[in-house]
Amino acid sequence: MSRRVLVASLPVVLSAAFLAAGASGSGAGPSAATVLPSASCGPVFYKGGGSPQFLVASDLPLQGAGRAQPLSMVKAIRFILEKQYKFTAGRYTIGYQSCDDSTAQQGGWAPEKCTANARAYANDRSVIGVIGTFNSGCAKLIIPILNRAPNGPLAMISPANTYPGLTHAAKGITEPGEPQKYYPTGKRNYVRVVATDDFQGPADALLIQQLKRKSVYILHDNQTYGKGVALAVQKAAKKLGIKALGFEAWDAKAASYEAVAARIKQSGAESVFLGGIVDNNGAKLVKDLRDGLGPKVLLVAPDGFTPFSAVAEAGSAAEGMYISVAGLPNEALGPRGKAFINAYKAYSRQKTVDPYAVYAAQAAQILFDAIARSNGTRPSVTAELFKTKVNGGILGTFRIDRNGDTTLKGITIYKMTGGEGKFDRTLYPSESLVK
Amino acid sequence: MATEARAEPIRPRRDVLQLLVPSLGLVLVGVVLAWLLVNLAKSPDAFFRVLFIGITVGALYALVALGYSLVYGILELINFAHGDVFMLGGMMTTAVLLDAFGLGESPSIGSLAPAIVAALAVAMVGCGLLNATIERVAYKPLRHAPRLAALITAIGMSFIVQDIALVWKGSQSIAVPNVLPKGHIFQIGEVEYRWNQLIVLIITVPVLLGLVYLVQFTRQGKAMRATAQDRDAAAMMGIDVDRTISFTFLVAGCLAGAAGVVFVTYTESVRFDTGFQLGLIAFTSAVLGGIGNLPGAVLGGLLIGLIQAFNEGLSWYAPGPNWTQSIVFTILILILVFRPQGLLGERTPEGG
Repeated sequence: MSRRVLVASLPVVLSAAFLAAGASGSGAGPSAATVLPSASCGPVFYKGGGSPQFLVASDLPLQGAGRAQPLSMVKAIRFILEKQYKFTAGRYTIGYQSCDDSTAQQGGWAPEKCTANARAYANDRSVIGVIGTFNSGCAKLIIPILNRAPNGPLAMISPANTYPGLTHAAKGITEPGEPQKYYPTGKRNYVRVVATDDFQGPADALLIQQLKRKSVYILHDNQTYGKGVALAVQKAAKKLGIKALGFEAWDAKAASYEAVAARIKQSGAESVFLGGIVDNNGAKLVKDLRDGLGPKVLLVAPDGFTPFSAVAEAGSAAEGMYISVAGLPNEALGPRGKAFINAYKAYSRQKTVDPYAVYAAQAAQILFDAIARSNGTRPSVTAELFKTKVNGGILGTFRIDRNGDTTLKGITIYKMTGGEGKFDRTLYPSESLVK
Repeated sequence: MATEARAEPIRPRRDVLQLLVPSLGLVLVGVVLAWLLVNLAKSPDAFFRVLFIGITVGALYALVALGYSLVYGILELINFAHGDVFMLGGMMTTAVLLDAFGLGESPSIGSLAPAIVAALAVAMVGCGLLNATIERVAYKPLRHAPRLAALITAIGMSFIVQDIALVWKGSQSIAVPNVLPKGHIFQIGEVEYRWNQLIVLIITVPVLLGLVYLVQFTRQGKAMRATAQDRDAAAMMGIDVDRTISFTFLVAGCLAGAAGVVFVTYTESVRFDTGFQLGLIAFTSAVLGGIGNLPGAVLGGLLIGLIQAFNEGLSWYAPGPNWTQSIVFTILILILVFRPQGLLGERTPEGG
């Protein structure tokens, strides 16, 4: 009943937001922020004087098997805003709302939530920037809506999306028309701080080569991200002389993958790549593959198979599996990054810091700095985002290129040991392998 | 009227069809058999490995399919909530195995056997009562309403049961450690027959035999068959029809509970929406074998399990996992078009 009331009140809240924003005039922005609807967003996080001039929203899947990660990302954004920026970016006061793009039924991101959230951000004129999303499939839906936002385009920065097509075309991986189709106004409004799958895929292929396996069987979950990274592995494997013996989708709702394992066993593949997210029955898939293939066959998965705790549900089957993450491990961060980790540990009372929390913190800093440099309008923040140059930041020294990609391209490989992901190596695939 | 008028000129073509369809069907079956034989010849190990997987998964489908068939036979109602009752049986099993008995990976037989028996008892009784309650609350008041009302109610109940599981256990899949003994029971060449495959048969076969005994040789079974055949006549003969229907739902629920235990020990995970897809496949099995027909449900379940396993597991010209659902449902459509009553014929529990 209460949900129905909430849903029913959504248009009212939105139109109220619209009216309030309109009344305060355009240009310098509204004097007091209009709160985003509570159907998907938490309360405004703001401890400064009065009410904030602008809102920043984060769009992450807060329900599902992997929710520990997005929750730690939310904490990291709160930490940066409260402790480092004291709720101000330059001349402007900033409040933060954490919005959820998942549903309990879906157990992960849900397309209808992504589009509904995007419309709410676009139409609430106090929203000056969005941090997100976690899943590339969700970003596909949100970017064009923010691109066409009133007085836009509205800026968006992702700490986690790795599908290349959101920012640039990659031969054999992205679809025709990408990335232009996400930017109907012709202006770019989306940047990210993680390396993309046209780097992650080759890194995984490189790993398979370094571990002396001569063939790979590629499975994917048929989603934007999973199939994209699987294609990238296939392409790089060919260049490295690794035989790709199969390229097939796994059904997230299947009762058993034993038959699939039997098929892979017959192919004689020495390694299996699982392109997809662990929410799509990944732990069960790992179990059945390990049971059917024996201990010698290498299992490699991309960053969709994090957090490691979700993979560890496969029990002993997950041991020895390799998982790549686009970005640097916490151990390899510079002084600024290490300082952040220590301060954040105290703030969040967590013993270990998820690498994605670090990326969320960096994304938040970049967005707040862009707001500080801007003149308080949406297009200005967007333009400033593309001028970002970070010198000795949390993630080190890098810049955002004209596509919106980071110049940091390291991919870190973790190995499942004792139920946890242990740092194994960092790989930098060469240009020729990526192209 | 109109259909009768049109039927006249079609009749000669029908004779051709009547010849053509069985011969085409035979050719199709021949092609499939030849394909299986080539695969067997090329890699006998893989063939038998996949065969075992197919039989195991098929037995599981059969167990769930029986619940659909039982209820349909007696009430002509597709109980869409059945798949979700089965899922709840799986949840109950995880509660017993993990929370009550605290089993970890590979426990001793001494602690495993009582846990499995307890899980079976809890899940079968729990699901049986739940299914009977659903009938009492949701279907009984609609007994004389149009068929569509009961059907929509069944879909509604399906969502309600799903949401109960969602609230109880959350949206994540619940991973169960491998509680069965590690390794295999016997091995032919490279083909292993594993404990988790045997447990499916250990539970399924006695449950099926018990069901046959119940339906064929007991007073209550006789009442069920009578009610299925003609509800009014059965009532006139002094059979308490309402009680018999309730009892049928109870039995169907028990089957779902047993299937839940089998599913969890075999696949080692369960999620709140597990019942949807598996229920759909089980229902398909029931229709394939002939709905209302108990041996038909078992045959349909085994067939679908084998089709899936052969398609996904064999390597010589097997379409692969991308095509599994399409193939299963194409076969269903073909069967329904050319043999609407299913493989063994649409029947009531009297055939069980």
